[in-house]
Amino acid sequence: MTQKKLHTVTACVRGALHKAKDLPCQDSFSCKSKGNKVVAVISDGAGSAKYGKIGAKTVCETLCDVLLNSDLKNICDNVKKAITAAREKLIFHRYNKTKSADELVNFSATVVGAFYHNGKGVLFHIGDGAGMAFTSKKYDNFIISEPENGAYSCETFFYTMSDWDDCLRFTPFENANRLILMTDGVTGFVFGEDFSIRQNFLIPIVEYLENEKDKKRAIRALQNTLNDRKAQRINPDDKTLLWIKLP
Amino acid sequence: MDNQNTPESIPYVEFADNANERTPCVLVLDCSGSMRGEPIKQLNAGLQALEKELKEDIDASSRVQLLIIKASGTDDVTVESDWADAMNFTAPTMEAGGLTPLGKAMEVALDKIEKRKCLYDNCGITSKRPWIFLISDGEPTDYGWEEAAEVCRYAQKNKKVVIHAIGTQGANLDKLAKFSLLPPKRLTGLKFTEFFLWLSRSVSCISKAAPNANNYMDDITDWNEN
Repeated sequence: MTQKKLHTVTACVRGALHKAKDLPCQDSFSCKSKGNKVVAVISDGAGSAKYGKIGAKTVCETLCDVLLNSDLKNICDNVKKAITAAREKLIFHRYNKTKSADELVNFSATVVGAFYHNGKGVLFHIGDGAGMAFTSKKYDNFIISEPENGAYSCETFFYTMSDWDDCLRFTPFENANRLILMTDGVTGFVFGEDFSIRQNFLIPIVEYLENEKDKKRAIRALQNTLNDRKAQRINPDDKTLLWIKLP
Repeated sequence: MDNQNTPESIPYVEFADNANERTPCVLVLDCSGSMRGEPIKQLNAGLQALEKELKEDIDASSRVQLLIIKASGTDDVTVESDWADAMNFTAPTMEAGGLTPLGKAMEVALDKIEKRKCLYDNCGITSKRPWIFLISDGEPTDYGWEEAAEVCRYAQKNKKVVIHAIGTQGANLDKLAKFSLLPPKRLTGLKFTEFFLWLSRSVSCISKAAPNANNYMDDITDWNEN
């Protein structure tokens, strides 16, 4: 059986706020594939958390490793198992001095992920950021996993919270041709009100990525775009955008 | 040379500045039968003036968002103009008829504000405390309006909203006062246009004010009877 090639491009750039404070980018991502199976996860480490970057990196890597051996039928259970495993890693992390779940707040991070296998898949999500699965070649049909925040804009949900499984959302999709995951540093550029797509941001990016054969060039161009001075001025958060052209 | 031909960035990408802080403003308008004739005509003229004035203010036009709720009929509450940035706002033409379900209209206003706040939060947009202007020439006629008024005062006490009650001639200010922690105001004659111009100036100032600044209200002598 022949397998069509999977195209992925991800850019993860440090926001102006962290640049000004000489802090590293708190976003992280991971994307793995095996045959016609794809797992992609991005995470936004909370700026207020001392080790948010570690929390973000841990959950991305753990979810990708665990889910690559999952099937769609058991995906919900396996996402929960993978997040539980990521939490356990943080409990025993050397920066967790008391080795207790109480200190997971120092590793706070969101989760936006996608699992895809043989034409079907699911988006899984805790907190802000967004996931999209496009179901037509144009841009008018897509399944979205929307951001979820608390009562005030400074509050969102993290996988490190004790009630994380109450905040975990699953959005199934089928017949998708491309996936896009993004952290909250990017969502404001992508969506207008009521989560309609702003025509002049996402569409030029996707068109460019789909036509650029040189992956290094595509990544550099996407990084430069997210690093644009105007983009950083409007939203100084870290920014991650992950694009996958599905087989 | 490494990546000599790499584009600086992807062409044609625009960064929409939707991060502008928004100031939501809801108008709850009594369009009951008693507003027929000159009152409704003046109310419509005032709304037209509000649209023009806000659109001419470059900052306010992108920061102030308006929603208009009409209370009329037997128990009819309709959103006559859903949330729109002032630059995209078109004043609706209101028609008068029926009763005055102000309690229900205020409940709709609070619900729309709460949903709007969620949308702002999800899109990373900060916002000023919402304003509701309740304008009536009479008094609430719907069943349970007092409970709705209590909810309004509670929301204001919890700093979720600022509610202003405005009565025209013949309005029962004692009953309108139950919707707000602030004392109601009485419109002089049918000075709707003067009122809406004041509203435009005030909401414009609020939308540009620094965080935690005191709410600036323009001089109300143009339209206030007292």
